[in-house]
Amino acid sequence: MPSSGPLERREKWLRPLLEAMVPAARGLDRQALERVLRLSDAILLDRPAAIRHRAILAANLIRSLVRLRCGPVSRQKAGCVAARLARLENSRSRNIRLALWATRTLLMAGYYGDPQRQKAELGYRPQLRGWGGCREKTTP
Amino acid sequence: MRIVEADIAIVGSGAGGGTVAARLAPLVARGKRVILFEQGPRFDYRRFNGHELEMSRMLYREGGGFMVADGTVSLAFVEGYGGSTVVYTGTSLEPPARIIERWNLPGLSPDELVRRARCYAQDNGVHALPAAQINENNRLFVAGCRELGWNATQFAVNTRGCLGSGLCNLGCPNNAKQGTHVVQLPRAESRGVEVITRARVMRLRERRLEVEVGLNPDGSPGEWEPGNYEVRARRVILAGGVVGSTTLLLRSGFDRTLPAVGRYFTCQPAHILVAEHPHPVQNALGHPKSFLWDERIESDHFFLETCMYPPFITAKNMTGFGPDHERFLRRFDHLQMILVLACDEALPNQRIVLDRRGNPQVRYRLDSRTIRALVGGTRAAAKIFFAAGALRVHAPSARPTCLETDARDRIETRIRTEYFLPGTVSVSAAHLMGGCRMGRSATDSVTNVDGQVHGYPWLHVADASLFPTALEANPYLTIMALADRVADAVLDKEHA
Repeated sequence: MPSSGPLERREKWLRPLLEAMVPAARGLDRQALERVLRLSDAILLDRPAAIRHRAILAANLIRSLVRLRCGPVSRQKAGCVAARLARLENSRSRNIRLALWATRTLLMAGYYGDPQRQKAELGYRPQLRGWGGCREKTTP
Repeated sequence: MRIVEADIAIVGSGAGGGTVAARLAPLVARGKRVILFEQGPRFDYRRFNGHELEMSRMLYREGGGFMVADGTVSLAFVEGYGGSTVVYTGTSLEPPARIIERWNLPGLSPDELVRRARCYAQDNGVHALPAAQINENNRLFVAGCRELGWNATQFAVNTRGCLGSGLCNLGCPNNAKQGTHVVQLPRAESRGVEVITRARVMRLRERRLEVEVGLNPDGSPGEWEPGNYEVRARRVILAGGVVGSTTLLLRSGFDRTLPAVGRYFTCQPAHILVAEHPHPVQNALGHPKSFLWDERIESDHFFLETCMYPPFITAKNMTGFGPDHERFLRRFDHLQMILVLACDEALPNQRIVLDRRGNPQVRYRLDSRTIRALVGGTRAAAKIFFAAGALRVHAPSARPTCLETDARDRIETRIRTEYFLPGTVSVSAAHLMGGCRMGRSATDSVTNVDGQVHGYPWLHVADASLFPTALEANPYLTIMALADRVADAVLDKEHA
């Protein structure tokens, strides 16, 4: 079995962050959450080592800043986590804002970038044949 | 290290490199050896499946997430056969006369560039889409502008046999878009130009290139055996794009005699804006771009274009998160989208440098003029959205970012520059320009008006890095026109 990536290994505290950013993620079971983080990891693993390192640092920084206000990051503190993230988004420190942006982008990549979810939840599916493909689909 | 002799070496295969390769191809029949090096792979369009993460990883440098050094802007560009022409939308705008005149370069007239651009427009099947092929996302833009008394302009695109998959930015799955990978490069190859992919030019010395050739992504060998090569060429033409050409010159130490190398970088930073309509909007089908509005480009430095992006790119480029953000995504098939592009100033301190490992680092800051332009563009787009019947608009520089219809009369006060927080507001750019700008002298430019590097008669540049300032339009036809000029200069020398 392939070893899990850096984000998947941080599933426990990334879940509350993901749920604050994408409220619909509250409905994800363990397997679905792993899939989200695996997709995010795949993006991260493609990037140069320095960028990967900075992305993990960014996520850890956000976790630490949330923990300062809310204590250990957990699903039971969803309201506190969401409020804290909203504050951090408008932080005076550009580095904190950037760390939040990077974490948010990675998590959203795993959630919204999943073709299965795009089709099932957003009604989006790439139509390779364009107009013709759409007509073919509706033709009995 | 293996040694290869050539007459002309071209570095890069995008709008500039592809053009030069096709123009110089007749030299092969006269016994000259012309080799083009491309550091990315060849793409098979049949593998373009429209899945955004997979395609972004396959096509874009760093999956489309190449960030400027301060982390506030992401830059999108491609390394591969055809360069960024593989992923552009094919928006075909002629070189704007007022910008070419502003460049004030001896011997470079707007008329001449337009004439050259029109030749490529014809070559690339550029045409305005008929009304029946304009999708609802574009029609809403026109309707909103009309309601406001603004004049939306239709522009032409370079497609042949477009099926309307709307997937231009992820690689056309029907090979309909007429980039250099479809038109100029195959033509050049058929006439004997050698195109070597997975070939990274590491350094440039006097008429010598150090080239590292790697394997294809699937592990198979490319045109040349993997390994290190020294290529000896009488002439070298750099067309590796703004980041590629500039990085090569910096890595090779050309900045010691040419202090402008890497400077005056611009990128026309952009916002993707979305608005929700009460009814489904046909946005994913049909060519994504056909209209622009640029009536305030000279006074307020922005222009608007229609656009459409898939869900993650949309989510990433919207600002914020949480219920408001999610609500827009959940109504994806009700979204209208507009792209705001800012015309940024070319400044010497906006530049490309090398990091400690010799990799490119783009030191670029969103300055106050650019931020004002993006905010001004957001206000204009919000007005168009509401005029077209939108229920709510996502405005990155508003607090909260979601504007309901009751805000339509207070747009100027709700969308404000002080709410534009770099690092929170998503900004991306795909129109990279400058870094090897044309000019009159080596003190503040890198090449002359023919793209010849000052002081190096054997070395030319032929890509968007030549632009002295931002073009204030989609650049590919202008890149081709300039590359065509560079090819003429090279041919003159060869004939001489």
